[in-house]
Amino acid sequence: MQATDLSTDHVLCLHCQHVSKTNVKYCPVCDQVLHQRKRDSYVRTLAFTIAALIFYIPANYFPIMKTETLIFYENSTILDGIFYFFEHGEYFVGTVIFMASVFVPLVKLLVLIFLLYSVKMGSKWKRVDKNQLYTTIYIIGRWSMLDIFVMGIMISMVHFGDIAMVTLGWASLSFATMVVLTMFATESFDTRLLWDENDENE
Amino acid sequence: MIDEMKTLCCPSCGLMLKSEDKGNSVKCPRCYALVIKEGHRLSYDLALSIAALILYFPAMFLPILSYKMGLATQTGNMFFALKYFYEDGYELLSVIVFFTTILAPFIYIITSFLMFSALYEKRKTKFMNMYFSILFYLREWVMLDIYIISILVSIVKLQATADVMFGSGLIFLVGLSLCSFLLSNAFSPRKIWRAYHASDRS
Repeated sequence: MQATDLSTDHVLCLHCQHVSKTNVKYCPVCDQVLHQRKRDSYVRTLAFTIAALIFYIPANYFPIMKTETLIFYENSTILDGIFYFFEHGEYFVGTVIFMASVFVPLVKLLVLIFLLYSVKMGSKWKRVDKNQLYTTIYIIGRWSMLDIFVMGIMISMVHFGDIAMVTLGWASLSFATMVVLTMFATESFDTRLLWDENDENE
Repeated sequence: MIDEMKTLCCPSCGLMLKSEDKGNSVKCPRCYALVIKEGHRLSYDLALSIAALILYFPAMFLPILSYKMGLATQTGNMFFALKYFYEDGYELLSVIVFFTTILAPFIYIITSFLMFSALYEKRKTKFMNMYFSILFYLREWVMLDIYIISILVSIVKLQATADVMFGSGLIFLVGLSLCSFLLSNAFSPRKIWRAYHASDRS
């Protein structure tokens, strides 16, 4: 039997990592309100994940960038941009963009759904790995913003009036919203929920 | 206050631990997450925040890239991108990009400068809670490292059509992002609060 904060009536302050008794309301070290778990962690994470999933679809389906020059007009989606790199032999950059804007957000959302499902089921299967998975998506999640920044630089550089012009498409807005929502979702998930269930049986 | 900080609790699985308090990092025996992260000395953080503060203004206001197409030359940095985002009707997007690449880094650097200088000089501040909360919540919204990578990607993308030259701001930006990366890596709540309460005592 391993003692957790729940079984020994302690509460951890996530801000300063000071451990207090449960009857203490405010952290004596940093004055924050103490909660034993992140508040409404499960529901908040679920809500943000679903919202992000909804935004994921238009983000990939609609054009994210419009290129206009004297001779041609082109609407391109995120995937078109990636294919462009592969066609021109820039495999490394193509892979980076693919990872950052298609693969990572999707994997992140699937991992969150999987984690929420295991919390719901109270499963004890490979909890260490699940923790590791959470840490990983927490770290790599921010990198999805890469595509938006690239777009910003492209637009500010290619701005030659009628001759050549790059403008944004609608997908950029839903893409950015999706990334921000996934960041909120990861932030509100509390990994301790994975470990809390059935602790007494150990 | 400092003596009470000897009981530990793993923030990612809730396991209670006893600390040996040797001033080094501690890993959780159950989920292998980092329980305590001991940072560097306070002078390290202070030095980094001063360096970042010096680098911030040239990095943000000097042109980062310039792009030549025919006779026309275009120089750009994030402010131009924001202007075009705004003009094209993507106000929300320009707010998100402004926040993550310009405002959040500035607030983060200023706050860490104020906080670490107060801690370093053992000065008492009323705003310690505010400073700490700002750093705590803003940490993952500072996206300068992603910004650097996005500049590299857009160089590759633009090179196919015209000459791309580095602007004078780029070197400052690389320095700034390095400083802010090291600064947020050295962030250790335990160290900060211990230093604060140590100054409280003397």
